[in-house]
Amino acid sequence: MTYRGTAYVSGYGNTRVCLQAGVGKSTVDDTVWFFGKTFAFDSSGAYCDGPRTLPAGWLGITVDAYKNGAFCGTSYYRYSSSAASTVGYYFYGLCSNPAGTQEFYSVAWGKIYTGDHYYQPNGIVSPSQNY
Amino acid sequence: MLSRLRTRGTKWVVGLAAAASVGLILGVGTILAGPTRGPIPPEAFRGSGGEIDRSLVPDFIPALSPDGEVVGWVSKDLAVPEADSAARDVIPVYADDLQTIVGHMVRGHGFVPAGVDLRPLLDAIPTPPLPDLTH
Repeated sequence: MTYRGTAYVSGYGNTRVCLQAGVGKSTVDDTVWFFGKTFAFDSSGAYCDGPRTLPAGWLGITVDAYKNGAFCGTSYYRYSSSAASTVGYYFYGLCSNPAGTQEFYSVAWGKIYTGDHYYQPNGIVSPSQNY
Repeated sequence: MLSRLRTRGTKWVVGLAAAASVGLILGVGTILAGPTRGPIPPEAFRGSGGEIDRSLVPDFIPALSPDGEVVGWVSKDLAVPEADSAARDVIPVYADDLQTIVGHMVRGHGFVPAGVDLRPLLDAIPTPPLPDLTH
């Protein structure tokens, strides 16, 4: 998890946004999945520490998928459906994984509602995975 | 004395003209070379702090269909945006001429060939719930 930015959230004050991105593979059928997660933290402690619960819909996440440096596509946005300090999203199906070895990456983009708009800091790149 | 000044002036004019010519050639060369294209190099994914190093990303990168076929090119500005960029629900996919649109990358669906009605796909994209302001 990595700190990505701070937003002033109405009613809550400065809120830190941390992101996580990952790539994995199904052991059943070798399908590659992509993963991203947004976290909200208060700004009093260390970075990415001290979860801050925000109302439903205030946190969002979307994930881009890459294979061998080519663009497979972008997931839907997922928004927190209840009061939460984090929201995550797995998806698969946009990047094929044929025989041989491919290098996969995901890039996760988080959103946090500030009271009048969504703030979206820079995305975070996952570690590469060769499948 | 006058002759020496004239010689110096001539050298200056010739020098300036040469510099301008080189600049013009370089500028035209850049224009003629056109935008860069190719896969994102692995080192671009390893930028400091886990960000994509956009300076290493070509102007256009290959787009893949869900079955892995290279279907065209997408622009760096839309596929690899900067922070706080606008939503990218639909990204045009260009042919090798980088002008003809052969389809679109649609959020949640991947590549959709040109000619397919995008409206049902776009209608299916979940919208953010109305944020609860009664906290």
